[in-house]
Formats: sequence, C-alpha cells, structure tokens
Amino acid sequence: MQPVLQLAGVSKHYPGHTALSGVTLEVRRGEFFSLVGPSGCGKTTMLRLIAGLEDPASGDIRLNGRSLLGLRPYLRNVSTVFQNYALFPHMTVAENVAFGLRYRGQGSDAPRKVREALELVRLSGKESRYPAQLSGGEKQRVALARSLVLNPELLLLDEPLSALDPALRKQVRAELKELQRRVGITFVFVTHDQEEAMSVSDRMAVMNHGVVEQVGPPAELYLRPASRFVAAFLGAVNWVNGAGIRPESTRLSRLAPDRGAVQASVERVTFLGDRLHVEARLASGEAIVAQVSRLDGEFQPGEAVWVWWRKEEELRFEA
Amino acid sequence: MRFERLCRWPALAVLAVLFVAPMGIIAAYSLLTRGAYGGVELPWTLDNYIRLCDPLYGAILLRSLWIAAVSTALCLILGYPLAFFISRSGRRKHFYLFLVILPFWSSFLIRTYAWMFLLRDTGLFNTVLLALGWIREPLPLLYNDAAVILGLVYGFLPFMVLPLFATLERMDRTLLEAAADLGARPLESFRRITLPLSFPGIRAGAILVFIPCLGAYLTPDLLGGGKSVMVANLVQTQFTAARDWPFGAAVSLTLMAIVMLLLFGAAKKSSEDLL
Repeated sequence: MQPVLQLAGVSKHYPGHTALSGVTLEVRRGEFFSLVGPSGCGKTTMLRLIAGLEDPASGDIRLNGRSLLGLRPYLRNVSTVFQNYALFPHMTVAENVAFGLRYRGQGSDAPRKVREALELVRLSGKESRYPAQLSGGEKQRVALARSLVLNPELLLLDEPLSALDPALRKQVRAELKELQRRVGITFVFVTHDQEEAMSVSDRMAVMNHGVVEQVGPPAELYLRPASRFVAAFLGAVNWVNGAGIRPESTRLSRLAPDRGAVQASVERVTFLGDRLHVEARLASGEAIVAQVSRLDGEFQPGEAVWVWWRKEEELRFEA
Repeated sequence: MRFERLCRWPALAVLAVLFVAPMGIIAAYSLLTRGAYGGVELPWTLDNYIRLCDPLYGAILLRSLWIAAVSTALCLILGYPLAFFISRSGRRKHFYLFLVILPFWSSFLIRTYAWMFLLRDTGLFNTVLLALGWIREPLPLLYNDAAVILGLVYGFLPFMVLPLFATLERMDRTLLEAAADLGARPLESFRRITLPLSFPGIRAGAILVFIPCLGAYLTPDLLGGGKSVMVANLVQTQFTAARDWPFGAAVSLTLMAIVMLLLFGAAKKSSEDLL
C-alpha cells in the first residue's frame, strides 16, 4: 500500500542553523506516527514543512504520491493542531470548528458536521462558549475538532499536550490514541516526551540535530536502538565496556551467580514505591543504576553486590 | 495610607484646579445674561441653550460632525494599511513608527501654515500645475471644506496609526497560520481574523481622531479661511467678535456633552469586547 506521506531528502536551513538535513521518511495510512527528539532537533520544522507553513530548501514532500512542493497551506488536505491551539478568540467553539468547512468544499450540512465533531471530542453543550471561557483541555479538544471535522488526509499535532498539566496529560494521550483509532485518520504527532511518544505511537521517528536517527515501532526502538543517541533518548542506559544495559535489565544479587557477573559496591538506594533505584560502582570504576523490585531484597550503601545481566539484553552499537 | 493611594493626589489636585473649576465657571456663564461689553451679568437664564435650537447653529454642528466623520474615515482608510505594513516589517518597524511621530517634533500651527503655502493660489501646487500648462487658472485648493479635511487628516493620522499598530502588532500570528491551515486564503484570513481582531484598535483610533477633529479650531480657521465654520470657531467668535460669552459657554458645553455621549457609547462597546 502506498504510504500516505513521503519525505525524500528534505532539508531546511535557517541563518546559522540547519533545522533538517536530508530527511527521508514514510508515514503509512491510518497509523499514529510520532516525531520525537530533544528541542531543536527539527521535529516542529518538519511538521511546518508538511503543513506548508514553511518551504523546504531541498527534497520532496509527497501526499498520496503527489508532491506538495509549492502548494500553499490552504491548498493542502492536511490540518494542524497547534501547540498553543491557535483558537480564534472572537469566535465561539462552534464557529471555530466550522471555520474551515467552507474552504474544503464541505460547507453544506456544516451544523451537523460541527455537532458530530464536538460529540467526538466530548464538547457537546459548549458550542456557544468562547475560547477564553474554556479550560486548557477543552481548548485542546476544540482545536482537535476544528481539524478533524475537515477529515484531512493527515492530522499534524504539534506538542498538543505540552500546555496541559501533567496529571491531565496522561489521560488525554490515552484519549487521543483512542480517538485516532476510531476516526482512522493518519496522525503525525510531535513531542519531546519519549514516554508520551512510546505510549501512543504505532511507529515513531527519533530525531536529533535535523536527522532521523531511527524509525520503527516503539518496542523495537527501545529494545534495539540503532544508535547510542536513540538508546539514551528513549530511556536510561548503563554503559559498560561499550555495551548498554537498561537499568531494568541490570540485576543485583548478594551471592555470586553462576554466570559472568561483576562485583560492585552500592553507593545509594532510592525508594520509588513500586521499585528501587540502586546506584552502584563497578570494580572497573563505571557507575551503574539498577532498577530492582522491592521483592528482590534490600540493599544498603557500602554493601558489596554482584551485578549481572543477560547477554541478549545488551544494546550494542558499531561505533 | 498606602503609597499607591497617595500617588493619585497630585493629578487630582491639578485636575480640580485647572479642569473642574474652569468647567464650573463655564457652566455658570452659560446660564447668565450677556454683558454689554463682554462678560456676564445677572439674571440667570436658559436663553443661551434655547438659542442653540436655531437651525443656523444646528447646521454648524452637523457640518462639524460631518467633517470630523469624513476625516476619521479617511484616517482609517489611509492609516489601516500603513499600520498593517508597519506591524509586519520586522526590525524596521521602530524606524517607521519614528517616522509616524516625527511631525510632532514641530508645531502644529507651523505645519498648518505650511499647508497654506502649498495650497494657496500662488502656492507650490498651483505654480507647478500652471508652469506645466495643465491648468490656466489657479485651482481653488485653499479655503474650503476639502482643505479643512486635508489638514485634519494630515494632523491626526498618527493618532489612528498608533493604536491600530498596537493591536495588529499584538495579534497572535499563529492564528493566521491556523486560518491558512484550515483552508482560508490570505484575503479571507484578513477578513475573518485580522480585521475583527483589530476592531479595538479601530475604535480607539476613531475616538482619538474624531474627538479632536470635532473640536478643531486652528485647521478650519486657517485652511477654511473663516468660510468653513466649525463649532470651535463659533465658540471663538462668541468670546471675541460677538462678545457673547454666555452663548459661547453654552455652545462649548453642548459640544462637550456630545463628545461625552459618544465616548460613553464607545466605552460600553469596548467593555463588551472584553468578554
């Protein structure tokens, strides 16, 4: 099946700064795709290039096989949920949601479409409110409805959860995932939060310095990262002799296990409720963190322990 | 008492002495009888206000309102594109704003005289047009309503541009990106987003231009040449040539009342906007 979105060698430069260099990427129809990376990695730039709010310096962007190059944003059948939501303050919720319908040739039956879109995001009854009268979560849902009502080929979401408070964020991201499954529209979701990306994505691209480091399903990226950057960005890593071991794969025991293990001394133990973080220093001088279950026993600072892990849990890289 | 509360007293004192007291005097004068050689005498009377009902004065008031309205509309038509341009010109906007307020560095009187030198029969425009042979006789550019309106627009345009610039500058640009993203072409974005969101600036600019235009004295006096009388000129004549101080006081109070009514209407609308 043809990918809904293709980027081929896309580059973008700003004065004194390369935002994207030669990005090649495919997004499949109907998937929840995330662009994740630290701030300044180019993920928002990529979203703006897809939306047509900026033009690439080189490369091609194709939607359903048709190049979008030179097409102004209002001629692209994609829609964006902006980071600050960009709701029109002088229009009611219903007017905001209806805004784009007439331009996409869907002006007929607008009231019904608006009503359905608001039902979808559970905002029925708030039609005549103004954005200033809404909570952050409600604003975010209006922005979603305003884009979804157009039934775009692609819905672009620029850090849509970053303005919400942390407790709400986890709930909303689950709702977002559920909504995407229900409407079947392809989502391209930008976030700097790797946990958020992993929890919602079918596939994700990890970006760094304007380059896509790796693309794949979250589990694949987490368990088989292609680079040290991807490994470290998606979770904590202990580096021992050039290999990476995740803290949850790092085992501790008081008795020498039968397989290869190294000796270490416990430096600090942090109680986190459902788990313990044990910081230890290996005989070779490397510091490691082990995430162990409370049931694995208690460890005291200064105590000598054996550290071991299964070979297949090691993350290995060429360079 | 809190320091902040103390801070209001200097301004209140100045206003009481220089504004409220003279207002009271004018109000009292407007209810008195004219003296034989200027000044006022008893008895108290409402005659001055009754005289205002004379169609002659109503016509002058209507003329003033009309000239002020046309000047305000022209300021808006000229000022909006300018303010829009300046708000979109990046780092150079400070320089353009400087140019907008540059005329304030010289006296309004001198600038109005300068217009007389440009517009009169032997002025720059007529001289050039005559020399080019485009006209046989000097055009009557001066001493008419058009000259008054020109002078008012010239003088008060910055008062329209500055509040418009402030609202346009403050506007969230991502709203326009969102509009384009939702399918609106630039002209539609302007009509449905930029223009409605700049209404507070339009209203502020219109008030700042309309009110001084309505009470303009210097411009109609110099560029209208006495032929184009506005309310302020009527007031001036009553206090000087006509030596009818009570009537002059009544006219100026009436003008003030009209301005206040318009202001209250606009203020009510502005507070509705905040919702």
